Amino acid sequence: MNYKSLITLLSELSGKSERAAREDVAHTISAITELLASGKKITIPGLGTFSTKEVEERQMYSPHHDEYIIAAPKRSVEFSPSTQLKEKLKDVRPADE
Amino acid sequence: MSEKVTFKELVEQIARRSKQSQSSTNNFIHELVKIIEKGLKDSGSVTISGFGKFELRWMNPRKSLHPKTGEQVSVPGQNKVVFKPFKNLRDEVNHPFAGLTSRVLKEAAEKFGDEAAPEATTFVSDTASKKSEDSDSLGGLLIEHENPRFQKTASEPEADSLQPAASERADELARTPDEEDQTEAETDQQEDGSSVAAPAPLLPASEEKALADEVQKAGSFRWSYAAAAILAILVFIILFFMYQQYQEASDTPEQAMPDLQGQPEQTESLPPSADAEQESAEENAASQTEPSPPGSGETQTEFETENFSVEPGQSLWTIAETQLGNPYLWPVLYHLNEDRMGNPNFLPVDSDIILPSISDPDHLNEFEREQVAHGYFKLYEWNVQNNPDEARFFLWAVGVFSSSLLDQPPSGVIQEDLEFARNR
Repeated sequence: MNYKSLITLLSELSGKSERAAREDVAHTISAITELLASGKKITIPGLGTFSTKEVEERQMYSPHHDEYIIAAPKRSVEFSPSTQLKEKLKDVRPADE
Repeated sequence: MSEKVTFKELVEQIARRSKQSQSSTNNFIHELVKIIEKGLKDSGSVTISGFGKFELRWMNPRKSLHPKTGEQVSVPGQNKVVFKPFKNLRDEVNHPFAGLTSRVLKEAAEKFGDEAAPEATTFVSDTASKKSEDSDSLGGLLIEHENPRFQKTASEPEADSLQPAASERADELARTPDEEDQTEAETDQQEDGSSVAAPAPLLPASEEKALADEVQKAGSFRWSYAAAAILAILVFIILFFMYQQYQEASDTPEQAMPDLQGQPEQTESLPPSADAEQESAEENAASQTEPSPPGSGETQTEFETENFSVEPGQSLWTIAETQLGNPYLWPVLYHLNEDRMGNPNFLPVDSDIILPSISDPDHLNEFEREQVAHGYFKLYEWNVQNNPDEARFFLWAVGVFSSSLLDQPPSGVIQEDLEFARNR
């Protein structure tokens, strides 16, 4: 499902205009992004938990360049789906788009 | 760092941004979740622009051990929900570390490549401690400086200057346990107690690393083999194509030959290359194998022949083409004129050759086919002597014109060539 059809469905479900739905999604995204950027952990019921994880710098081997590198430390987004969502989607075999 | 935000706080945040009531925002998020779920169910993926992509990933059924009892249990296949953050989200989240890039560890590559295992192990332990020191000092810097750019410039030299100090410290720790408390106290003072963990995972980590590196080394070895193999295959393919092109191209010089050989000093003319022969004979095979028309049904025992005077620039191929109507019949000329030629590739100018009369070059009768086959067989014999690599193709052509000749092969046929000709 792409972003456009998501917005269309959302506006149908809520009775809002597509534009309003788009704005609402944008606000939600920016709020979540900002919270994640400040290192917070956000749980959305029915969907899952967004959190951040810090990876220390580490020594690794790059097979492409055939050299040993010290990979830069980073902080990345982690998502763990809620149990409800996992249970619901466990046995679904979606037809590929 | 991982402070929890309740759903209520999130709703408040969003409501403030969108200037809507909290209850409507709450409803909105539930609707959004519902739609994401529906999208995952229907199409297996949901893309939210500017944020990321939710995806279903099918995990195949597998066998696993029960964590408590240690029994083997089979885990059924199931979907996993994964979320892939898009670049802008990744960058936002990664902002404290933005601008940091990976460094190449040159000494490590050399050491691992050349020296024995124990030395490598000590080296790893050095880097292991250095690493944790580095990241700790980085952590300190992060708190002090909010600006990522400044941070980068500050952290790089710091990290470098730390290297020798760190390895020294690691050595001290390893050799003199008495001093350990002292050193630890020092580091505690310096870095708020965060580096206590540094000496602890020293040994296991180093062993693991050494192992992992050995594995990687082995991996790179195989890579080089694979690369060599691929290269060899490529070269082979290129050669094959060149060979094919050469075969195709060899038809053209044939046509142009009369012009080329118009000069009087050239007393010989070249027949077609053997390869071109095969290719085109193959094409012709279909028409050649058709039964000859009933009109020429009488059994023929000899050709009606006439003499033909060879002119400069002509070859058996061109004579067969112009006089007989089909260039692929040129072996019959060789068959009839063998005694005065010897080498089928050289045809003396101004000599007379015997020219058979062939009624219909596209539908040969039994006798004519046999004669052509005999011609090809003579060529085969000649090529066995002079050009053994390509001789078998002539034997194959024998079979195309007269399979009975192959069924009762005359003496002097190499068994391998015979099999090749029969199986083609």
